[in-house]
Amino acid sequence: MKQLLARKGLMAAIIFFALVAIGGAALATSNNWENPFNALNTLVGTTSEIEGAGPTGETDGERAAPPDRSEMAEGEMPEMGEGGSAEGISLSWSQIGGVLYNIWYLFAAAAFVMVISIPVQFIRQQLRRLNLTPKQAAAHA
Amino acid sequence: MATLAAPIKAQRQRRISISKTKVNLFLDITLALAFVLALEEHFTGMNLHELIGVGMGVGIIVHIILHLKWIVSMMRRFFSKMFHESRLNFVINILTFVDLAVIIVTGIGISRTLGLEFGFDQSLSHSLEQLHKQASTFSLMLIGLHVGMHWKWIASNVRRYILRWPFHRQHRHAGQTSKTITLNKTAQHS
Repeated sequence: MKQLLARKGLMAAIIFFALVAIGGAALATSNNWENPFNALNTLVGTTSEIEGAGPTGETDGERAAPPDRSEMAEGEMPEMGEGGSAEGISLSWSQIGGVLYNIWYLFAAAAFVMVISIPVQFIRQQLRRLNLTPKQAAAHA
Repeated sequence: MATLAAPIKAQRQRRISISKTKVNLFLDITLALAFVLALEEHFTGMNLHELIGVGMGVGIIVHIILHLKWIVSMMRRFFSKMFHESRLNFVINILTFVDLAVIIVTGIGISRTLGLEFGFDQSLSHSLEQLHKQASTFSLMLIGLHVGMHWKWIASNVRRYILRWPFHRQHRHAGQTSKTITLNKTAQHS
């Protein structure tokens, strides 16, 4: 039963990785993907163009830009910045790519942690084995 | 009768703990969805962006209250013996909390549709906006790590409460049958 569960878990993990990869590829083809490590660059200050960037750090137009509202009539967007609507609540479905990218990012981070945890656990096990006394090691074996 | 009361009490307690996990799971999923939506103000529009932000603030407080026991115990054990993974997890959680608090506070400060007028001058408003954006960028990474650190818990509970794989149903039925048998035996003895 344990083996069956382990095999099921491995299969689920492989399917999950495949879905993350396919999702990333789909986002890239629809121009909604950006390098997740750009966020780090923004934080360490290598990307200086924070001004005018969206909340997820789109800085250089790599991801789909919001529709140009400069040609809108003045009364259409009262007291609002880009993307806003002071009256009522309406979703701008053309920007769904950004939301999908955020969801993908969360899954990709989970996949990243899963991958990293495998060698980390292996190293930890080896270190623990090294720290055991010969008697404990024999008992462990 | 006294022998029967104990298993019933234990069963009741178990039921309460299961529902707490369920509440945690659904709250976390709602928070995650709210978070990915709130990050895209171009998608939601400013009004909904701010409303989701405020709602998230409330949700995060509930999330913390639900995990208060764990937080307190981690704080006590942080500098003593503890697995490095738990320590890293705790540091990421603290950073996430601080980051989200910054986002919510600065967001309220620069709010345009909630009807809050703080009368900040333009330069302070601009600084708050920059801080809000930078913290948002950082938050996606932190929440990603937060999700990653808890993927086992998420996967097992999503499978249990949302996907309900046939294996789990069978397993639960088998568990219930054995429990009923134990109860009957206890009743016979008493």
